Amino acid sequence: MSITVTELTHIYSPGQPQEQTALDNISFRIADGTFAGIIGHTGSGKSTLVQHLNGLLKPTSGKILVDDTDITASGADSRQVRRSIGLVFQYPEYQLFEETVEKDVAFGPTNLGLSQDEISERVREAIQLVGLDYDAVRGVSPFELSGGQRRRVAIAGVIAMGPRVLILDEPTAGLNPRAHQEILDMVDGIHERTGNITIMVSHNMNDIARMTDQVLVMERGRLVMDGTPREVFSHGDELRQLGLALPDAAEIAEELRRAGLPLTGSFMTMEETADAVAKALKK
Amino acid sequence: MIRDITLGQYYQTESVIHRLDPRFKIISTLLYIVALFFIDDFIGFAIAWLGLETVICLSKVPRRFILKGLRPVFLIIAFTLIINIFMTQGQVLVEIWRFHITKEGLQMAAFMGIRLVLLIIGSSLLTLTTRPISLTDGIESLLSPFKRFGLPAHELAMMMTIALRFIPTLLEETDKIMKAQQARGADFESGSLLRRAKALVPILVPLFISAFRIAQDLAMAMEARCYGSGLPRTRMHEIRFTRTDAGAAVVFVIFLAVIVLERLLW
Ligand SMILES: Nc1ncnc2c1ncn2[C@@H]1O[C@H](COP(=O)(O)OP(=O)(O)OP(=O)(O)O)[C@@H](O)[C@H]1O
Ligand SMILES: [Mg+2]
Repeated sequence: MSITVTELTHIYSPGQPQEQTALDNISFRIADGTFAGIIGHTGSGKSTLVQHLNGLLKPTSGKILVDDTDITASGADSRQVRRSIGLVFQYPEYQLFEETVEKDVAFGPTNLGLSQDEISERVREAIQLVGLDYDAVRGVSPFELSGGQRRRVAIAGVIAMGPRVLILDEPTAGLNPRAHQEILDMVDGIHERTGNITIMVSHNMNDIARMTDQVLVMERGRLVMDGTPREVFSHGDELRQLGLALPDAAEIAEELRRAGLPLTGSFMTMEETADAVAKALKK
Repeated sequence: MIRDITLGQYYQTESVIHRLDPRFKIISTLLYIVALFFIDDFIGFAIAWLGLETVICLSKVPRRFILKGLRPVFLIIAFTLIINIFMTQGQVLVEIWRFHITKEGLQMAAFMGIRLVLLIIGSSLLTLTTRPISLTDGIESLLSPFKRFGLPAHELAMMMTIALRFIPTLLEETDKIMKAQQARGADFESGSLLRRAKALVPILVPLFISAFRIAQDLAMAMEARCYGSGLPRTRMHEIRFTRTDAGAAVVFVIFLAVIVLERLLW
């Protein structure tokens, strides 16, 4: 499965005084099996972009092809689109509403009209996939769980629909460092296991550098950079001008270089930087 | 989408009407509405319409905004017209099957229609030219004499202010929750009435939870700033009755007097 976006533009409230161009002529391609990251300053249009990818928002102009199907065409089957492209919203735990975890996770698959057996099967799989103990949580009210657990339940609710592309909008926003890491490990695990396209919006450059294969940089509705993390994070000055930062590993390497340590190359993870520093000091 | 709905529909511009004391605007709107029901012939309505026209011109609010206020109540007006045309006894003009159209009915319907249109335009002018916050300040000030009879004027006004402030927030929240449930395959647009009513549960439950969360946060924030009602408080923007207001009041009283005289003399 691949996603191709061509000249996508979205204008909120066109013709009104509060008219707002949230996406401005965006084009990119995400190849099969890619883990893509989307970064950008607050209000740059990241959430608007991902809501187009599963057909929740219709573009003002432009096209989105998933494989060879145009999901923006007027005759497109929006149910089919939402079934194959799963979107986890920012703060997804706020959309939980059922009495038990099991029922809430079953909401999506039930809407797809699956058989009862298939639904239970998928619900159990999804709950296990997000790292929860199925037998322990299935009968519990989602509102009794901790923040991190609740978010897992919400993510399970999307995974249970069996999407072939998983999109997460800031999946770790507002979590403590430990829950943050656990959610990321979970996302990484799901990506590894399914081999599907995964798209993650994030403000954390370390996570983006460590996890993704492709990075899209948004700025005021425009796509300003598109490349591998190494390519994108080699433009430190431009990123800083956009109000973004480099991953800590690259930041430290740059400081050390300025202090006179001969480091060459680009650094995405702390391990890489540590190795390079050790090598440089041994010489 | 849902965000495009304007509530409280204040139209920001600089005009004499915008600057008037909100208390004066509230009272004169109420009196205008009472006057509309006092009028009983076309000349009276012509005078009332002329008065409204003057205010519209002075307020600089574009006419399409004013007419927009009429759209949602169009059905009610149509319904009133039909009821009045067919249900009034009197001299029969036309007879269709069991229904009669009478001369009195037509006149009644015309009066009622004009009355409703003027009433809605008049009251939407109040909200178009007055910020919601000034409006609640005005209401608080008007209600404050009743404090001595135990009416919690300040609390009422505070509740109104908070409600107005959070309408856009809750609309945004609804939009987000709807999208999130749609992403999980929820369908709000098709199916029987019962199905559609059921489809609201996944929106309403999270929405109520959000509303309570927002209320709790707000209460905490107010308490952290030592908000307490019951104490005499000063305000940042005092409402003042200026000379312009006095002038406007004189003109308005003359306007009312003309309407009363017209009714008595014709
Ligand atoms: N429903 C809406 N109606 C009108 N304007 C909107 C709506 N949603 C977003 N916007 C506007 O579109 C622009 C892009 O918003 P978007 O939510 O896509 O940004 P973002 O990159 O996700 O920001 P953040 O990092 O804060 O989540 C913003 O200026 C925002 O005010
Ligand atoms: Mg966002």
